[in-house]
Parts: sequence; structure tokens; C-alpha cells
Amino acid sequence: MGDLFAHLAHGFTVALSVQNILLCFVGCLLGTLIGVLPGIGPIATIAILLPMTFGFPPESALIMVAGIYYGAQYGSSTTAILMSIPGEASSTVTCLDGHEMAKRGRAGTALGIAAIGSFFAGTVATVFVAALAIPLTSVALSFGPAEYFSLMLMGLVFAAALARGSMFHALISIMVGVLLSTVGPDLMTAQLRMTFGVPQLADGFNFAILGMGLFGIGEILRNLEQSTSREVLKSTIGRLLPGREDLRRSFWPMVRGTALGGSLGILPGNGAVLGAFASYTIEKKVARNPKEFGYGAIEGVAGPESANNAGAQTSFIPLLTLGLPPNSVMAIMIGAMTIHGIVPGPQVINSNPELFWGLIASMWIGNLMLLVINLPMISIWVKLLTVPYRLLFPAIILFCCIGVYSLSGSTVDVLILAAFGLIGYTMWKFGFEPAPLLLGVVLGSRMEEALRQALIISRGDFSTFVTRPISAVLLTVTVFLILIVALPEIRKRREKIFVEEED
Amino acid sequence: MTDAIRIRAPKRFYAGLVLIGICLFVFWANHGMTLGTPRMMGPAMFPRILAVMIGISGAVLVLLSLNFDGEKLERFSIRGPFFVTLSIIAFSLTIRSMGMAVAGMLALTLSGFATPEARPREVLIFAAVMTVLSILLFHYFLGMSVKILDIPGTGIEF
Repeated sequence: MGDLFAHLAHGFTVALSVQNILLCFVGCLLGTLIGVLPGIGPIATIAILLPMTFGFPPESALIMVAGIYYGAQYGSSTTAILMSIPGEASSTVTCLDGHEMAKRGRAGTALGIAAIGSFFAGTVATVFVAALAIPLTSVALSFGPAEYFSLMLMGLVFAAALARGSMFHALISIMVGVLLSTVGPDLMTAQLRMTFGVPQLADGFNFAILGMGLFGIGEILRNLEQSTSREVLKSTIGRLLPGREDLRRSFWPMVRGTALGGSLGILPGNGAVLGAFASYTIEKKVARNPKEFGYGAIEGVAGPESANNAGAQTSFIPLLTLGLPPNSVMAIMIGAMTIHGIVPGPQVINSNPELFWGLIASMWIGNLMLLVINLPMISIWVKLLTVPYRLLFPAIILFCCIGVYSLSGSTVDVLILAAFGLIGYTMWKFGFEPAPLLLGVVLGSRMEEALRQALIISRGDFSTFVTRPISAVLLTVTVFLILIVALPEIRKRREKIFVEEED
Repeated sequence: MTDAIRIRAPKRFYAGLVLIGICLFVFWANHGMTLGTPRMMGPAMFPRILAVMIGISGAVLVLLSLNFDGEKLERFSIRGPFFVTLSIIAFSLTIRSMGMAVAGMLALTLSGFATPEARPREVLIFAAVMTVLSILLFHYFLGMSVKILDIPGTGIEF
């Protein structure tokens, strides 16, 4: 325990330098600013703002990116409450009761309790992350290539199972992503693969460009096609600070939400998404007055928002300890780390302790800032919601272009950005999500490396993956997961056939 | 089910075809590379395994689309993707030679017309304002090393 606080204290001395506090603040502010713009989710926000952080030293840059992430998440809760437009999957739940509260003139209280719940969850989760970091890192260090491969496989299958839409489609997206990761030099012979003589591809695709293309540009192309009518809340915001009664009703939902979101967030797949849904379901079950849910129950905002934020925080655990990003936001974080020359993984805690503990400490500071920035500035965010999309998207395109160009001053990279924008749009048309693809790209080359190393060690014997106990357990979980998700889908399809045949 | 083969789920069918295409493309792009053995995998092994898996998935989608009803493939819109892509290409062609003033102006103006709601005067005014703002932000505030304006042949250069 003493160690834990010593480490956290060390982290705070890093995070509390004037420059880092300022960057965390600017990050939160910009993150909220972009995240609150309708139609721009957290992933797109980070992708757009990422280039601004390149000029700073690694720990400052990551602290700023983390700040952007928290800000963007809070921004998407704001649009969920005020306009019933969720910026990301996990704030879909907030729309239900948050927007109902807003319609009843209690928008301020909903936003207030969302901020307070997030802060509470963030505080608990920060300590949790710090406490789990060292034991998990030592577990990770005992992993060989076979275990790593199975773990990544499990993570990808989890992510596919939790993705929107069909699991089969998500798995295909992931495979295409992994395939894209093989573009560039071969890991052992350095022979160039599928680069077609384009020198900019000699190092493979850059995640940051891919992310900006698929999410930044791709989302714009999607939005341009959908109707642009957006209803901004007409009624007043009302008082921000929740009253004593509201706080009393929200306390236990916040605690339960934090526990749920925090523990699901550690899963190597995108577990954090489940947190908000699980929390809403439980609150509805235990509520004294379940009929209020769907009509502006404050518990339905406090619980899921806490779960959301706790999950956002603990999803850093697989990234920091194993070097495996559990979702596409963390995939972009890896992009940010590699740009600064840091290879994410269990060695970071020893090789870059400032970065590691500084980042953890900045989580808490970031949460505090959200509370401080957002509550007083809500009226400004509300005004932003009224900016028409026809003005927004050209500016986003320009920012993406400048961002990509600033990476390495390459104009070919800018063209790759355009290509991935079109790829993202085409995928959407065919019913595929881009998020699993990005995850596949990030994990792909490390999976190949682990696979090849494991097979060299086992002299080409594939049974190494099932005879090593940890790897066998991970693979069993993976198979079970596929069965659990796939069986109902197949059964549904068979039922459909029977129905058709009866006709 | 006795009639001739019919595409019952166009969206799935074409997605499957694209995937099979990707598979064939990878085989073509990697020809001549060492495949290796499981014990010592060569550079072509991993991409090819994936290509086969993607190709099989594509075939499954095609088969499903022939046997079960599914969604139609929605029309691809032309205007949005056309102007957005054009604006990014214009940016990439002009940023190095002519600087941010030209590249930014072009990108903002062209992309502004990607929506049918575009109002020409508003697009131009907004593009000018945003170009100035982004030069201030990226060049002066963030210290990015990028030319502001350079029109070849006139000697104008910042």
C-alpha cells in the first residue's frame, strides 16, 4: 500500500508541473469543444486533435491526449442529454433518461450529476488502476509469445462480440485490419510487402492517419448523407447543482456504476461499452420506482455515466500493462505513444516511470478539470450545439489535412487520408464498422510477431497454444465467447428458414 | 427455391465479392515471396493465411446472399465523397508548393460544396476566415514549419 501512494505521489509531481497541468487543461477544453459538436464522437475528436500534441515531450503529449479523451467523452454525454444524440455507443443509455430530464427543464441537473458521477468514478478508478498496475505488469512479463498471441486473439474476438451489428462482420473487419498491418517491412527479413514501391508505405500504415481517415473523414461522408435536422433543446437548462434529494438518490447508483464499469473496462475486448448498459439495467431492477425509468430518473443518468467513466479509465490497464489496446480510442493512444518512440507494454512501467505514473495521476487531474471547466461553461457548449454542420465539416477536413501533413511533411500521407475516408464510407455502406478494423491494424503486426516467435520456439508445432496452460485457458474463453454469440444468431437464421418454408 | 440463382441480399453479395477480390489481390501482390514453413514462417505466410480467411468469409457472404433475403445495397452518393476527396487532393497538391493560404482556401472551399445546403457566399467568407485562423493557430501558435504563401513566378513568399 505504501508503495502505491509513493508511486502516485511520484506521478503527481510529474503531472502537476505547470506545463502538464496547462496541457491537461487545454486538452480537456479542446476535447469537450470538439466532442460537443454534434456528429463527432470521441475517436474522431482524438484523431483530429492528436497532431497538436506532437510537439511536446512524450509524457506531456500523452497527458494532453488523455485530457482530450475525457473532454470528448464528457462532450458526448452533453450532446446525449441535450439533443439525444449519443457521440458513442456507451452514451446511448444516457440519452434515455438524461434527455427526458432535459425535456422536463432539468437539463442542468442531469449535466451536473453526469459530471459529479464521472468525477467520483474517475477518482475511484484512478486508485484502482494504480493498485493493479504493478501486479498485472508482473503477470504480463511472465507471458511468452504463445500467451500473447492467444490473449490478443481473445481481445479481438471480445471486441468483435461487443461491436455494433453482426459479429461475423466485425470479425471480417478485424481480419482486413490485420491484413493492412502486414503492409510494410517483414518482421524478420525486412523484405517489403505490398508497398508497391511507394516509399511512404515502407514503414506500414500510420495508425493516426488511418484513424483520421476512417473516423474523421469517413464520419463526415456518412453524416453528409443522413438528414441534418437536429433539434436543440428549447427549454432552459435549469440549476446545475443537484439538490440534496438528487444526491441521495444518485449515491448508490454511482457506487454500483463505478464498480461495474471499472471491472468490465479491464477486459481486453471493448468491455467498457457494456458498463453503461449493465449499470442501467441494474438500476432499473433495484429502483424503488422502476416506472420512473425512461421518464427522467436521475439514477438512470448517475449510474451509467459513472460506469462509462470508470470503464474509460480502467481500459488504460490493458494498454499500460500488456501494451494491448482494448478499444479504438486506446488504439489511437498507442499511435500517439509510438510516434513518441515508446513501445507500449509491460516494460514501460520500468523504462518510463515518469510517463506511466504521470499518466495515471493526470487521470485524476483530468477528471477534476472536467468538473471545474464544464459546469461553469455549459452555456457556451449549448451555443456550440447550434453551429450548422455545413460550416463544421469543412473545418474538420482542413484540420485533418493539416494534422496529417504535420506528421512527417508528406503529401502522400494526405492522399492516404483521403483514401481511408472513402474506405470508411464504403465499409459503412456495406454494413461494416471501421472500429474493429483499426484495432486489427494496431494489434496485427504484434500478433504476427508473437505467432512466428511462438512457432519458432515450439519448432513449428501448433499444439504449443493449447499445451501451455494460460494460453489454453485464453483460447477456451475465446471459443466459448464465439459460441455464445454465434449460436443464437444461427438459431434465429434457422427459425427464419422454417418460417419461410411454411409459407 | 427451384428458380435460377438469384441475388437475394445484394448488400451482402457485393460485400462478399469485394472480400474475395481482396483475397485475390493479396495473392497477386505477394507472388514470388517466400512462404516458409510453420517452423520458420516467411514474409508471405501471414498475409496469405489472412487472405484465405478473408476470401472464405467473402464466399460465405456470397452463398448466404444467394439463399437468404437481406438488405439492398443503398445507393452511394456522389456529391459528398467527390467534393471531400477532391478538397483533400487539392490540399495535398498545393500545400508544399504554394503554402497554407492557398491549400487551406482550396480545401475549405471545395469541401464546402460537398453538401447540397452550401451557400456560395457563405462558403467563401467562411473559408477565408478559417484559413486565417488556422494559419494563426498552426503556424504562429503551434510553431508548425509550413509555408504561408508562395506563388511561383511572382516572388510573393512568406
